[in-house]
Amino acid sequence: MTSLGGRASSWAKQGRAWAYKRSGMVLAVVAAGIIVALPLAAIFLHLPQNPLQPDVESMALAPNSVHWFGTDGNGMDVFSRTIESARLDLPISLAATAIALVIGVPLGLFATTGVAGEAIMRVVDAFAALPIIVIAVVSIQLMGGGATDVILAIALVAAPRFVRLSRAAAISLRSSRYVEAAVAIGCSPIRVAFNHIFRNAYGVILVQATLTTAGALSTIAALNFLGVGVKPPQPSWGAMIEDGVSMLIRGQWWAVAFPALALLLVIGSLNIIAGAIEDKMERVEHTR
Amino acid sequence: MPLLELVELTKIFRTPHGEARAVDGITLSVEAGETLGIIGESGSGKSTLGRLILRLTEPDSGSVVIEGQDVLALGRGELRRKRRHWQIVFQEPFASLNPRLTIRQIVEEPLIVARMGDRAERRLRVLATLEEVGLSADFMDRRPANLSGGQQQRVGIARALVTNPSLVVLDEPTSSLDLTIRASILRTLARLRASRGLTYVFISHDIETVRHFCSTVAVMHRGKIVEVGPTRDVLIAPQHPYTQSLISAALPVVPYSAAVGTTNSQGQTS
Repeated sequence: MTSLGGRASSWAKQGRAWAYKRSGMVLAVVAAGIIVALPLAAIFLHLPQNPLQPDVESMALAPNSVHWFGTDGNGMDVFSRTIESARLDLPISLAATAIALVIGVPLGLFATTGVAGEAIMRVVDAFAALPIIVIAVVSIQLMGGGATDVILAIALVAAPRFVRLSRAAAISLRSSRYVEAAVAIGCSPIRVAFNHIFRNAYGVILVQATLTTAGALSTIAALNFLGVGVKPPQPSWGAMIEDGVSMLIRGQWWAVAFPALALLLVIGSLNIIAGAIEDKMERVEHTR
Repeated sequence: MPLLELVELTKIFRTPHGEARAVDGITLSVEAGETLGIIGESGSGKSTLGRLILRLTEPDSGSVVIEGQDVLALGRGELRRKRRHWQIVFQEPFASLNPRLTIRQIVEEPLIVARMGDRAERRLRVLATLEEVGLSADFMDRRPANLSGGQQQRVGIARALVTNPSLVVLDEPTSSLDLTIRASILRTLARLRASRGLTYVFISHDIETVRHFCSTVAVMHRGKIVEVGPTRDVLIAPQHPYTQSLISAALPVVPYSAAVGTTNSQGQTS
């Protein structure tokens, strides 16, 4: 009996472990689905109201059967605008993060020694010393002001952090025995950097990428507020929150709450995805 | 012609407290098929010497010639291409293996870097080399963290040998392992030396290991070689006072008290 009971409980344990593993994956897939579905919905779905159409007849209406999320101070439909925001917000912030990664990580991995390395770090320091918004506004003004320019501006501002993170990893891992071993078998510096250093450092870089994407969403809003980049009336979550705050004092919570929820949903999803990737790598490392 | 020749090799580490002459004008030569033991206490510069031989550290002066090739004259790319002939096994087996890679990836990498063979050939070679060092094919997909210290060191040896090198520097390969595992690793290394005709530079602080494993021994003290010669001569009749003190400080294989049969009042051998 005891042996049977023991086996059953071990089965239960295995089942729970399996469910735990699966739940992480399922959650990550759902999160990825949200990230992909939101901009697609904005592009392809027929929105119930025109998100760009102000209506003086229906300003600051509470959620009702026509305006599901209510209307904002200009009488524009909050539901339609919340979905419509994803059309630019998500692609811009994701693309900016991707470009920042592609520029920043290799620079950081190689800027560890020599005059060139020092020079790179001084430029990075200079960038980090300036207020983000100033850099973004100036570079967008210089480049023109379309969505591509917003992407490049945000990438430029975010890249220094990736340079620093990957440089720190490269410096700390360079004196490790396995990196020395990689040199001893004749690996090229590029191979050492990616196969041995980056492979052991991308956990922190991934987390930073999530934060950067979230930060990019608020930078888009800030730029919008300053009248560069995404121009009104084209909505963005950050700008909607900014505008809606003034309505809160009158108890009109919906103009802020729904875009904020959307933002929360996206950032949460990104965190879950990053966590799942890291988790999977850890598991690969520790089980056979 | 010796396989390895060092002339007046010097490495100075500059610290805020002054200069440390880690390796101070060392001249040595090792014949092909020979095993040179380098023995000395911690900080004597023996590990630095091992790294200088393979140019993992740049010397301040002197020369290193391996198989007639002046190692210090090689450009970076040339040096990388030559590395497959001159290998090293490190002291800490786990630290020297990338934790993210599988055993197969670790042992295969030297072949990829040296552009040796296609996928299928590399796979066979990795399998054969793992078998040579005493690891079965089951280990291919595991990672370093799932192996014992002895198994990890066997992976380190396989990685060093997979490209069929002529010279292998063994930097205290057994000093972090249990005694029983140590003996079995040494047997494996001795077997490989015989079957492949390898030349070893064996860095160690353990006189007993050197006595059994090396044909020649060089005693290092404060960056200098104080005595060098056939192992038997040096260890039986040491000429230099430092060698004498090193040998007398070593624990004998048969404890003195056990041999004489004395015990103290607590019943412990003294």
